[in-house]
Amino acid sequence: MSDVTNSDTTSHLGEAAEPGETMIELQELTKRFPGQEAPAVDRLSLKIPKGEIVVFVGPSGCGKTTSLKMINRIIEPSSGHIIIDNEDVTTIDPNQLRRRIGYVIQQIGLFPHMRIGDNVATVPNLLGWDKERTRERVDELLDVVGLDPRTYRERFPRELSGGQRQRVGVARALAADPPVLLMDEPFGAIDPITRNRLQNEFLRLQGELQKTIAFVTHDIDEAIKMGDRIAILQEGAKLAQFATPEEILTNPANEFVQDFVGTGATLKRLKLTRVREVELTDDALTGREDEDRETLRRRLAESDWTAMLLLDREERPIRWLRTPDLRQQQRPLTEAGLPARAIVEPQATLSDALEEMLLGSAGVAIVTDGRGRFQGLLDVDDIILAIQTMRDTEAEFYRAAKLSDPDDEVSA
Amino acid sequence: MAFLEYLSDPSTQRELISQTLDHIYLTAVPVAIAVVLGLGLGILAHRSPQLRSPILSVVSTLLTIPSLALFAIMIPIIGIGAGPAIVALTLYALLPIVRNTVSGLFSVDNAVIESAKGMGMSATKRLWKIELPNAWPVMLAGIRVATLLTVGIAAIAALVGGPGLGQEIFTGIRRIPASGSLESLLGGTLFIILLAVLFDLLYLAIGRVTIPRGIRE
Amino acid sequence: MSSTLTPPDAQEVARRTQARDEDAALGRRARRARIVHYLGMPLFLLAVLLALYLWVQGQELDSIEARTITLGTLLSQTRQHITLTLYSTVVVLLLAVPLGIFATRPGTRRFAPAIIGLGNAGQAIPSLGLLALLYYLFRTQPALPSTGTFPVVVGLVAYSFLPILRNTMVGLEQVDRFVLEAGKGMGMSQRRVLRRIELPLAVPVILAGVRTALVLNVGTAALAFLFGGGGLGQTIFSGFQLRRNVVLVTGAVLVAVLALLVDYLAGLIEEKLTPKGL
Repeated sequence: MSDVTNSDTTSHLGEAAEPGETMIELQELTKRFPGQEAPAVDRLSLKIPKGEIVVFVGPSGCGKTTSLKMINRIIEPSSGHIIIDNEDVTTIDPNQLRRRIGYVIQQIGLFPHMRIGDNVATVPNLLGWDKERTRERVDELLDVVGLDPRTYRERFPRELSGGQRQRVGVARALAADPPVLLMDEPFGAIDPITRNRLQNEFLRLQGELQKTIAFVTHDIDEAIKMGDRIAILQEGAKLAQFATPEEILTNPANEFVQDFVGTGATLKRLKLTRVREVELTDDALTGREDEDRETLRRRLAESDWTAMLLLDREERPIRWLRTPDLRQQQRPLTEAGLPARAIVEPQATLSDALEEMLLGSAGVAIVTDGRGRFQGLLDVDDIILAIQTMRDTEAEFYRAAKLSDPDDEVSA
Repeated sequence: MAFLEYLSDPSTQRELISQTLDHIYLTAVPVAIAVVLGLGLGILAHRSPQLRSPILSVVSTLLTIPSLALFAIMIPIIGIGAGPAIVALTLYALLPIVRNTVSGLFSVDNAVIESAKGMGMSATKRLWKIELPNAWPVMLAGIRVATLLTVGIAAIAALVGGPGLGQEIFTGIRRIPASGSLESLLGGTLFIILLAVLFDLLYLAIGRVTIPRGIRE
Repeated sequence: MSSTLTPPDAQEVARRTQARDEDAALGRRARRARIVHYLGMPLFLLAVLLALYLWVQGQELDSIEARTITLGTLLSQTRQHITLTLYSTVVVLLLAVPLGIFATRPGTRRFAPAIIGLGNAGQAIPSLGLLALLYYLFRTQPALPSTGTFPVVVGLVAYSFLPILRNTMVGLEQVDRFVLEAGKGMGMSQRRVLRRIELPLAVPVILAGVRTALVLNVGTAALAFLFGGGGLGQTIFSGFQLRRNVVLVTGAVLVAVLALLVDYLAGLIEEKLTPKGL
């Protein structure tokens, strides 16, 4: 949980909606495999903005992996062009090209006969870096992916767990600091708990590194979590929709996207919206533990609230108090009423908040700032209202957009 | 006891040592040539699906031909002596080496090769730095089998004038059942077995030194 | 990493489609391939024999050569060679296969690695030395027959015993444990598991053993002449001793042709008798 709330990635809607400079551009990219009638990838055109994660997602056999592997030409395109950083790389030496592109695959493919340090040093060695620089870089990267260099540098891949190996895989891909990273189901073969942790760590890392990343998965939830933009592909790598996760969830382009996103799109949405983005109830009735009972009781009676939130001297919420609790004199205030539960921070997602409410059997979540000071309340109705509002405004926005520019269809 | 007397006779000792050295020569040279040839053929068979089946069936056919026949057929071509034996033994040693090179290369995880490719390693670099080191344990096992095979078969070279410990056995055979024949048979045979054991230990040591720790059993 | 977790992607689909197309192409070429497969080796061997015949005919044979290479001699040596090969193969299979099965039963399985290890070590024994030592034993023990086929067959059996035993055991050990467990899980008795599952699955192993035994024995039988067993090795050796290359080559080619023919026939039998689906 804490990983989710702390990993502050680029705000999904705001920045991603206005793509900046393009880093990778696919132009009419096509792959025909010999003896196969329909092309595996049919004239795919797509722009990946600098510093963003674009996730290719789609059902088995839709051509997403083929599309990804054409970017570093592990699979050579039959026709079309690949432009990286304004350079047409379709026909340059593939080995030179690949040294500029980090590559992470599901099976990781660490070299079993080499130590972890040598695995990470592969590309620096290919590029002819001097020993000292390579060594420093290796240690730095192991540190970045959360592996202590002194412990792990001299180990062999088989001495590591699956999650640790995948960390090494990421470190190895980042070794020569390539501006572009290709990731083919990088967390696909890892158990769900470790996967969740690695995803969060990777998002945090990406927040610092700002690489341009093409990422393949078959899991729409992973796509929504990881992607600044999602390319939903149909058979032949036909682009069913290429948009931010929000757009895809609120406004699926067609039935295929709707089916693929599946039911529960609204619930998925909750993971995209953060508490700070919705309006909180900030006029809640509060009292402080150093005020006297009678003052508090009167204030509660005069308000239209049935309970009051008691804060400590640092303004941190501690108890919920109702009128009867304030009448009793025996117990100290800090033990009266009910404990304040379901406390969330502003960067938590609505999904987190909802979960906290359900766990705490509370109809309301208490929002506090980083120091734990009370900021406002968020109740279930607020969440439902937030969803509806966003849905309506976005639906309206896209309707308007379509009317003003009839050619602006999302197409391959 | 007669065997101990036989072994303690200085002239027998001289004979056995020189034949053992010849036998080592008769084993090491063909195996060395076969390693070079077999490596090349194995890599070729691994790379080219068209050549794989012809290469493998030719080398396995070679091993089907009885050794005496193969030794003999070399004589009109090369002459008498160590030459025909070395050529014939090289041909025998090929099969285990080629076969294990091919299966060793096939045993390398595809993901490992793809990630090497994805990092921009050239095909040559991939072969030498990634594929061969990972295939090496299987290849070494093939070389070991080839060596043991060669040590045993090399004895037969003596029948058609070749050097080595087979000569001592052959001397014994010609004298059967006269006295002294058993000693020669035992001497030649045991020294060959001893040699095989020594080669085996050598391969154990080679494995220790050359197989990277990350892929050692 | 388990690749089964990966959904088959376009590449995989393409690969399969390609494989299917290749199958179709193979179908067109299949007839030609089958002809090469079945007739290639016999035709090759026939051509070799024909070439040998024409070459020998073209030579001016001196009296020694003419006396050594007669059709009668060669035929009788071939017969001896085949007899030795067949006898020793049958005997070694009767001994090694049942022992191999016995040695991989649950009660005896713990000895299996040791026996397989012994089999591996047996590779180091030179055939020439083993045959000679056994022959010496036959010649020096009055109770044992010292002439004819018998001593040589014993030598051949002794030499091919360990490899065949080892192969049988390795093959049986390889029978998928899960299949066995499934058999037991369905309530099959130990014996039934052996008879209904293990042995049928071991058929290819045994057939491969037949082939290996035949090839080993046909090769080693070339040494039989040294121990009074005759065989085509005699012609090779005569050619060498008499410094007559025509004789030497004739013997060598015939031995090689016989061995390749035996291997080819054993391969055919192996192919025909192996249960479909294995």
